[in-house]
Amino acid sequence: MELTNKEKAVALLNSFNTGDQTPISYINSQKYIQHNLAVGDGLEGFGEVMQHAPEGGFKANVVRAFQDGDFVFTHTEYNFFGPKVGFDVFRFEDGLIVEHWDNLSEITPPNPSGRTQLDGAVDISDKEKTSENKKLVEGFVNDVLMNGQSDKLTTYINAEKYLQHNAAVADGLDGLGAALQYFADNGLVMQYDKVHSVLGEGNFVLTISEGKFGKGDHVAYYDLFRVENGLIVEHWDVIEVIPPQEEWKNSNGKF
Amino acid sequence: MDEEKLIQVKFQNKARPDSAFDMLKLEELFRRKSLDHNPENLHKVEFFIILLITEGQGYHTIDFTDYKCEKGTVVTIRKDQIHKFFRSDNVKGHLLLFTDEFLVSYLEKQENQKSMQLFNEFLGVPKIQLSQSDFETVKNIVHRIDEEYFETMDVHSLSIIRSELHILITQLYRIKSQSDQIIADKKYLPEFITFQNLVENHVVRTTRVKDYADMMALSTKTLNTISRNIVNKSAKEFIDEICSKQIKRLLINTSHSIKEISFMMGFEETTNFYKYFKRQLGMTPEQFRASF
Repeated sequence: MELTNKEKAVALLNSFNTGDQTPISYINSQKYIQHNLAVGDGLEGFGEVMQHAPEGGFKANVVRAFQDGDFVFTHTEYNFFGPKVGFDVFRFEDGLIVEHWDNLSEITPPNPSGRTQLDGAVDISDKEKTSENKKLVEGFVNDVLMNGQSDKLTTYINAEKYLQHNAAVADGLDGLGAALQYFADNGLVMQYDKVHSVLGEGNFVLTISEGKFGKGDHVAYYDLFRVENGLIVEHWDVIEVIPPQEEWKNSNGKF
Repeated sequence: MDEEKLIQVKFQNKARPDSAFDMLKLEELFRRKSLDHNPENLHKVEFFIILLITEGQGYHTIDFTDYKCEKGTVVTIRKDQIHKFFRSDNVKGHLLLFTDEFLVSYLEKQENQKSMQLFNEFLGVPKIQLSQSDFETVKNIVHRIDEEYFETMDVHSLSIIRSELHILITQLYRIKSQSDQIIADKKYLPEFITFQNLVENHVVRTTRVKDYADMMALSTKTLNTISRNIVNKSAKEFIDEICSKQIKRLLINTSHSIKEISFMMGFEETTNFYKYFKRQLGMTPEQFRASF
């Protein structure tokens, strides 16, 4: 019985803990396009990283896993040179992984509302609403985050319930407002320039965007949203600085 | 039912054919070669299942939701629900399976009704995430059953297992009610359950509130009160929900044509079926089917 793509991706991440070699065979050995810029291209690049694993190896605890067509995306707690939180995206062709993107950051203490970067809702429902929910989230990122139309906030976000897992921001629209104000007051930016990808399964939607953050660092934003009855009610994210091109270990680009 | 996609799983205990109870480890289920169905496929069961996860991470699909499973997750599946395993080498757990007769026929009516409430998805979600101390309690009961079933197994064992199972169900019911995850001890609950059973068995024949009120010898007004009181829906809304659910199960889990499903669900005209589905779900049956 062939595993589903989602089961394969989860098995591959779990193999970090067990050292099981089988899941490596889920990667296409002829074609594995790597977008983690710190890792070399192809299966060799992956093998090289694994060889340099510290004593006891890397650890991965897959908290959420989703499938959208040929894509599987996961939300994982890592021990990868220290505790990290990460999103991974895998693209499959004929049942094999041929492309990989990710965004990683250090684990931080719970945010002002006591939420961590990984806790919160995990069950996947409303699968018939996947495309509707993707449109809603894409609209939010385009209108509000990219074009600054904050008057449209409540057409996308549930004003009564917005659970925030960003390390620095509190729950609700107030939390979001306070964070944006703090940024403005301190000459910091949170700028979305381009949405590269929108993936979803049921009530969960992931967007991958490019922009500037903090003092103007070039970053990749991975934002995961949960949608309930046509409004966003929960948000997780990982923001990672994109290194300058001369430091890249492959030439595939971040996106 | 379509043999290829939806597998109707009958209860069969090959090792002990006279037992209406069976138990196995999740990790063994994935390794079982002799099973006549793949556990990872969606299948409709004719028995009750309690699944306790003791290790690892995965999902378990029941009807239209993927429930995240990890250490301390309990999933309850009732007869006729459609479910699917997520295959993962690192997931460990216990699966307890039993038929109606194994428990129900031994309990007095009120106890029995309470047991069945645990499995009723209209009264609470089918997933419970146990706290560490509840996990220990539940695990201990499951281990006792395991020992009785696999090691002791004499003429008394099934009776002991039956009692342990009743304790397990009652414990889970208590845990669920303490966290307000279940509608329990409410006025009208027995009447509601009767109503639900009638609808589940007759929805193909009628979706009229009056017909169900007549079957229960109640007025439609009283039936509405009962339904509102328990699920906060009118009797008609509740009937439509069960009807939609059965249509959705057929759409997702079989390859029957829309016309066939329409006929199976008792619609005389396919156009009426389309109108009904669109009104309930806001999309066509084809769109719904394509989204899974």
